[in-house]
Amino acid sequence: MSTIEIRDLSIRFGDFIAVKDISLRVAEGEFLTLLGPSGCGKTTLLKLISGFLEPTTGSIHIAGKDVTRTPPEGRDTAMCFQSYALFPHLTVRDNLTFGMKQKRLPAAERQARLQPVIDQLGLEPQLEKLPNQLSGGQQQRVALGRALVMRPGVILFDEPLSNLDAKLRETVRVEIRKIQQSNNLTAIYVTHDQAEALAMSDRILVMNHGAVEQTGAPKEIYHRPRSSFVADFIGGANIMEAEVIGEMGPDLWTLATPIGELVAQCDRAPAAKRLRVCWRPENAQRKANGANLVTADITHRSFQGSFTDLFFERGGREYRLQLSETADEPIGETVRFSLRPGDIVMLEPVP
Amino acid sequence: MKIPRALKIILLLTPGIGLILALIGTVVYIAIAQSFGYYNLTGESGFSTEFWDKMLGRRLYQRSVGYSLYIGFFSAIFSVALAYPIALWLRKPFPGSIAIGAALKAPLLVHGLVAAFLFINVIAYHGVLNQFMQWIGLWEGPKRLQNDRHAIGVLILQTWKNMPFALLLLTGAVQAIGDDVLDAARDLGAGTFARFRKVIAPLTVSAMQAAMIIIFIGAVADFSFQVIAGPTNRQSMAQLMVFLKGGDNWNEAAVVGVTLMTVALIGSTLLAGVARFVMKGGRLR
Repeated sequence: MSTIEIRDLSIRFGDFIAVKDISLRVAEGEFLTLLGPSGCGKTTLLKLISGFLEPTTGSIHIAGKDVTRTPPEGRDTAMCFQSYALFPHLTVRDNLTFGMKQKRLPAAERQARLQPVIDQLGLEPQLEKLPNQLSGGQQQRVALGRALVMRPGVILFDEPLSNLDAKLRETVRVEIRKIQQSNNLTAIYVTHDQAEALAMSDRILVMNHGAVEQTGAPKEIYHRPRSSFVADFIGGANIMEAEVIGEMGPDLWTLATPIGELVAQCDRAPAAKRLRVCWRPENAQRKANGANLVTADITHRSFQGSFTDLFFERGGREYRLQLSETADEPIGETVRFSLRPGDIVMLEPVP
Repeated sequence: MKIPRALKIILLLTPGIGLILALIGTVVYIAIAQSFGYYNLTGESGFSTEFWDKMLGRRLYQRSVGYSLYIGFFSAIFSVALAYPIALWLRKPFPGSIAIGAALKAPLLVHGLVAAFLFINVIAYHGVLNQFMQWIGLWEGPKRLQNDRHAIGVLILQTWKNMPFALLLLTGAVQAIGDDVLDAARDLGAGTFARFRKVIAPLTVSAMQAAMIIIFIGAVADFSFQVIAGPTNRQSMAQLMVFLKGGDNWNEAAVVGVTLMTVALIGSTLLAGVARFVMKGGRLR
């Protein structure tokens, strides 16, 4: 098993900087997800780690060894591609054994590695089929199996579930996580799907414009975003500008906001007097009194099954509340809700 | 009334394919019939194996078949062998790649006869190449390069003329291979040669076979390059056929013609089969 250490990594394509000064450490057996919108540099970072791209500056160490200039075929990594990248002219069996044959492993060793993977992924009935005879989910399993039989120190996933339908995606992501944990593999997983990142990862690294916006455990990223970009990208968030007007006590700050005066609880001091704050729609609690009480007129509503979205406007901006499915207030009615001080998160200063 | 499906298909295809088959069939039929003594333009017509017996025993005919096979085989091999690395080089666009690709395909627009004359001008006894080699001091005097014994000049011309065609087919086939597939092979430990042998070659084998067959058939029937730049002591089958017809030996010319068609058919099939076998790493499937 392997650790990964990345130091001050950057890559430039002409004038465009795709990855900016990223430093990162991935522990042995850890599942790290690179999350961000399209074009944020997450796949470029993965390609740097796998060796398909060479960095302009910085270094990459896998299991303590500097592999910055080592080609992909010389690295102890295996990649699962977004397109699966199965060899279309080879059967499933030949696809699975391709890498082992390249490494000139003896036939007995190849079989010993192959059989558990076949059993684990349920590929026995598909062994003599060609990739075009398999469904998307089966192809994904073969791609995963082809990487697993190599017994790599690090396994890399480049949006492997993006071509699957929503139901299959959920099943396969559970399988991937189980396999990663049972084999204690160090894994780096690229996705732009925040739900996938939250469900699978030990740690999430959120990227934007080639740089790291925030790194942390899924709960921390979700509940304590550090910037409006992270708050908005991970789940729904009501982001608004606020002014710090007082300190009520240890870690308690009074804020003037477009929806009224609110008290926020935060273990770090506000970044500036004028800053952005956010709160999650599902943190709104229907109450008639208490702290951070807000009164709002519903402008429209949207039934979502297990919950209902209610919208209201204030200062030309729209805000969203997520209440239980029984919320039956019609449009135009006034709703009163409160926010816990700990659910109001202070973000970056207003520029 | 319901027309059976097979008959319906045949009827629909007949105006197009039927015409082609009728035209080709007529030519093939006349050539075969003439080689067996029918349609004799200078004597009595009737079935005879005389012309086949006569031609099969002639050294001129045997040398001609061998020579045409040699030109056809090596032209196909050299053209494809040269086109492959260029197709791989041009697989991904880079500044100037479109211009390079277009320049490399220019020979497709130059007629073979013109190309042969240009080539002769370059390699002639007092041609550009001889003068250049003397000027740089590598050769003391001019050398005779034209109409060489081993038909190197013809092979150069054939390769020059046919390589762009092979390049056209192979570029398309190579570009159809996804980057991810090649990256996956690399990620699994395949070096440059292993990637070519185990991924690129098997995935482009059909395009390579098509290029080889078409080049082989064209080169085995070469006339223009042979007449201008070929060795003077050998004749290609096309040249021999024209020579025999010129002497009013129509039936003997037909024997050479039928041989040419047979050699093209069998030779190209064998060449394609062997190429597939080699490129697929010893598997025919």
